[in-house]
Amino acid sequence: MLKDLAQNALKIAEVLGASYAEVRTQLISYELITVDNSVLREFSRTYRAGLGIRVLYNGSFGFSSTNELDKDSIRETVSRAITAARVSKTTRTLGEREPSRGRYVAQWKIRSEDVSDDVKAELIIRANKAGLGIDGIKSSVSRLGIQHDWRYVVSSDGAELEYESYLTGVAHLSVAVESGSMERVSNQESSVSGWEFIEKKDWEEFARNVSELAREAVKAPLPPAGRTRVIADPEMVGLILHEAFGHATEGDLVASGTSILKNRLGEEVASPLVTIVDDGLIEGGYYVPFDDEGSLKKRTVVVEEGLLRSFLTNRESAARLELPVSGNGRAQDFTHIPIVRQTNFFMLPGDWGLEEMVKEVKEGLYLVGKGSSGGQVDTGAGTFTFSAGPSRLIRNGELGGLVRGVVVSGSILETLKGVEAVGKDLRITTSVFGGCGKDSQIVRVGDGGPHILVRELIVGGE
Amino acid sequence: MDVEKIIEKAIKLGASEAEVYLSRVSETSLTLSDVIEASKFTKLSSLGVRVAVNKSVAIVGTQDLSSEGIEKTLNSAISLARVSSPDPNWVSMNKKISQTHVGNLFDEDTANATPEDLKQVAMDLLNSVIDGYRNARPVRGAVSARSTEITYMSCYGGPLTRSETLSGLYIYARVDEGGKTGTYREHDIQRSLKKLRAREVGFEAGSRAREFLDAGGLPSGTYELVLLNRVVSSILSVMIAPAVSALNVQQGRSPLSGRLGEEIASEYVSLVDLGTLPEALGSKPFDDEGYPTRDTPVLEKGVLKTYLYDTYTALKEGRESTGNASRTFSTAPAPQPHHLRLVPGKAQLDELISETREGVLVLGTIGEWLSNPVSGHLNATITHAYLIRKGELIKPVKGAVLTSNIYELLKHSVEAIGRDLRIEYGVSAPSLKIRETKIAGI
Repeated sequence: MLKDLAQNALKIAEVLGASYAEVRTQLISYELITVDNSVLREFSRTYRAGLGIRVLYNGSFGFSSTNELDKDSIRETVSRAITAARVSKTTRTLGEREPSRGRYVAQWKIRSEDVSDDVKAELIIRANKAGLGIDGIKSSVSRLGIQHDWRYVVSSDGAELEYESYLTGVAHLSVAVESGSMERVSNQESSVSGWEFIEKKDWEEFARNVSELAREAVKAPLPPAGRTRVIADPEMVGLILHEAFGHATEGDLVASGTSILKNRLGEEVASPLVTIVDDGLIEGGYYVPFDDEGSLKKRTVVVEEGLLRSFLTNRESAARLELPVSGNGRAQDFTHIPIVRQTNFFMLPGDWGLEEMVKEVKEGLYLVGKGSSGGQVDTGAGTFTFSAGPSRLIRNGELGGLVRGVVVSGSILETLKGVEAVGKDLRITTSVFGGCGKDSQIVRVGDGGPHILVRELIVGGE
Repeated sequence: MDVEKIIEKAIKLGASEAEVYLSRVSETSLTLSDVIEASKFTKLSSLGVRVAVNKSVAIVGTQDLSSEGIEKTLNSAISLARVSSPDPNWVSMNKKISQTHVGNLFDEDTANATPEDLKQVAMDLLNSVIDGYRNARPVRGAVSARSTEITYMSCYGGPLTRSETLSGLYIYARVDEGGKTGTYREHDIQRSLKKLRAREVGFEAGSRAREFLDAGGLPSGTYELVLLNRVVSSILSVMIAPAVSALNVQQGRSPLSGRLGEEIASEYVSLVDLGTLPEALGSKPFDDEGYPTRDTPVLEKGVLKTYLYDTYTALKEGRESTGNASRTFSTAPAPQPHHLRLVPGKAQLDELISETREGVLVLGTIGEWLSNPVSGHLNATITHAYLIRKGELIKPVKGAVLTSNIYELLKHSVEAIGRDLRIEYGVSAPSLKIRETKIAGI
C-alpha cells in the first residue's frame, strides 16, 4: 500500500514537471518501558507512518511530507513540494550514482512482537530492582527500548530500495549518595537484532555493575585541570572521532564552508597510525545499507594513514565537491530532508596492547566511555568537547584512582595528530536510546575503534 | 476527529480512566547556505492515548489516524495496561480540567506563511551579514514558521484546545582573511514571522565573525566572568530545570531534594516559571494534562520556594499540581518549566564589563548540556569570548573550559545581574557577573 502511494507520488511529480524526484515512505514503531525506583512508570508504544517527497524543479529543491495517506493528500503534498522548490533560484546538480534496486533486511531471530508484554515488563523491573539493591544507591531508572524501522525509497532515476531492521537495547541509570554528595552513572547496550539480544545477557548483573560504579564514583574527586596525556577506550575513541573529526568531514558542511577541513584533501590531518572509515554495515554498529536518497552505503575511507582522503557526501554535496557519492544522505524520518550524516564512523585497529600503552604513560588519564553523556563540536571554529564516564588516573605506568566529572576539549586539527599508539582491539557500539543531532534532526549512528594513546587533551576539573 | 468517542470506547474496553492528547503541527521552513538551499513544508498529526486500568497505566502514540489506526492504538493501550504491574503511587489522572486566560499565542499570518513569505525574511538575513562586514558571508542558516494545535480530553472533562505559532531563524557567518578564519552564530525566535529581527541578527553574525578572525587562545587561570544572557539561559535550562522537577526530587535525582525554604543562591537570584505571560515563549493556557497554568516563583531572593509538579507527583504528596505537566504524543507526562526566567537586575551590560578588572566576557559556549544536573557539576567549552582588562574589552579569545559547581556559583559568586533580558523558547535570562572562577585554556 505504502509502496503504491510512493510510486503514485513519483508519477505525479513527473507530470507536474519535476526533473528529479525521490519519495520515501516509512513505518516506524518504538516501544519503551521505563521502570523508576522499582515502579513501572511508563509502558509506551509509538506507531509512525508517512511519506516525504523531494523534487528538483527548475534546478531547485523542494520538500514536503505528510502522514495523511490518502490520494488527495499525497497529491497536495507533491504540489507543495513543487511550490517550495519555486522559492529558490539556485541551480542544483546531483552527483552521479548507479541507481540500485533491492531489499535489505537486518538479521533477527525473535521478533519483539512475538514476546509477551509481561515478559518484557518483568525483565526490566527485575533489572531495576537489582540496580537499586546495591548499598548507597538512592535512585535507579531502567529502560527497555525496541525500534522497528521499515523504509522504502524510490526515485525518478530508477532507484528502488527497501529496508527493515530491529534495534533493541537496555539502559540503566543509578544515582549514588554519600555524605551529602550525589553522582549519577548511566550505561546502555543496544544491538541491531531482535529479542535474542535481550535473552543472551544478564541484565540484573548489568544494572548492578552500573550501581557499583556510581557508588565508587560518588566518592571520587574531579581530575586535575589542564593539559594531559590520555588513553581513550573504544567508546571514548568513538566519541572523539565522531565529534572531533566526523562532523567536519560531512560534505554539506565542507561545501558551505562551515568545516575547518575545507580544502585540506590530501593533507596530513592525523598521525600516520590513524585510518578512519565510515561503514554502514559493520558488526556492532547501526544498520545503514543505503541512504535516504537511495544510494548504497559502502565503506568510505576518510583518513588513510594520517592523510585526509575523502569527505562523506550526499548527491548534492558530491556534485559541489566533485567527489563520489558516498551514500551518507540521511534523514531522521519521512518529515525531514536528507542531509549528510555519519553512519558508523570508526578507527581501524593497530598493534598495541592496552597494558603496553599504560606503561608508556608517566602521568595521565584513562578515559572511559561508559557513563559519558556525549559531545559537541563547532566545526567552523574547530573546537570540540565531550564528557567521559568515571575514569582512572594513570601514574608511573599504572592505572590509579577513579575520577569523575571528566569533560575533555580539544582542537580538531591538533588532536588526531597527537595519536601516539593505536590498540589491536576493535569495538563498535550503537544505541536505541539516542543518536546524533544536526540541524534539528536526530539519526542513529554507531562509532568506536581500538584503544588509543593521545599526546594531549584539555581536561576541565579542579 | 471525535476525541470524545475515543474516550468512550476506551472506557467501554475496560479502562478505568482514559485521556487523549492530539497534536497537529504544520511547518514551513527554508534552509540556507549563502543562498536559499531548499524549502520544506511538513504537516503532522499525532494522537496519544493514555489509559489506566486501576493503578496500571499505559500510553500508546500513533501517527496513523485512520479508524483502523486508532482502533489498534486503543486496543494496544488497554492490553499494555492490563499486563503492566500496578503503580502503588497512582491516584488518578487530573480531575481539574480548565484553562487560564493567557493572551494571544497565535498569529494567523505565521500559521499561513508560504515559502515566498519566508523568502523575504531569508533575503534580509543573508544580505545583512555582509552589512556586518564586507568579507563576511553566511554559510549556514534557516528560517521557519510553525503552528501547533493541541487538543486535550479525558474522562474527567474537556476537550480543551490551544494553538500557538512560533517563528525562528539562525545564521552562521564566516570570514576568511589572511589565512585566518572567524565564525559566529546568532539566532532569534518570536511568536510571529514579522517580529523576527532578521537584519539585526545577520549584521551581528557578520560583524562578530570579523572580530573573531583574530581570536587567540585563553591562558589557563582565574578570571572574573561576565556571562552573556544567551549563555546564562542555556545553563539554566540544563542545570536548574531538571533539579526543580518534583519527579526528580521525589525519585532522589535532584540535589535540591529536601531543601525547600533554604537559601540555595545569593539574594540577587530570583527565578520564576512563567506559564501565563504570552511574551514568555512556552506559556500556555493549560498544561499537557489539561490543568490550568500559572506563574510559579521557584527561587525568591535565593530561597527555594517550590518544586514544579504535574498531577502524578502532586497527588503523591497530597498537594495541588502547579500545572507543569509536559509530554509528547507518545510519552508520559512529567513536570517541566513552561518558561523559566532569571529575574533581571538593574545593571547594564556595559556596567558589568566596566566593573571587571581582569576577566572574560563569554558570548558563546558548546557542550554546556554535558553538565551534570544531579551533582550540580557545570562544564562549558568557551568558543567565543573577549578578554576584559580594567573594564575594557581587550581582545577576542576562544577555546577554554569553564568548570564549576552551579550551586556554589549561584550562592557565593554572583556579583551582579544585568537588565538585558534575552528570551528563548522555555527560558529567559539577563547577563550575569560572576566572581573569580578557574578556567582551563585549550
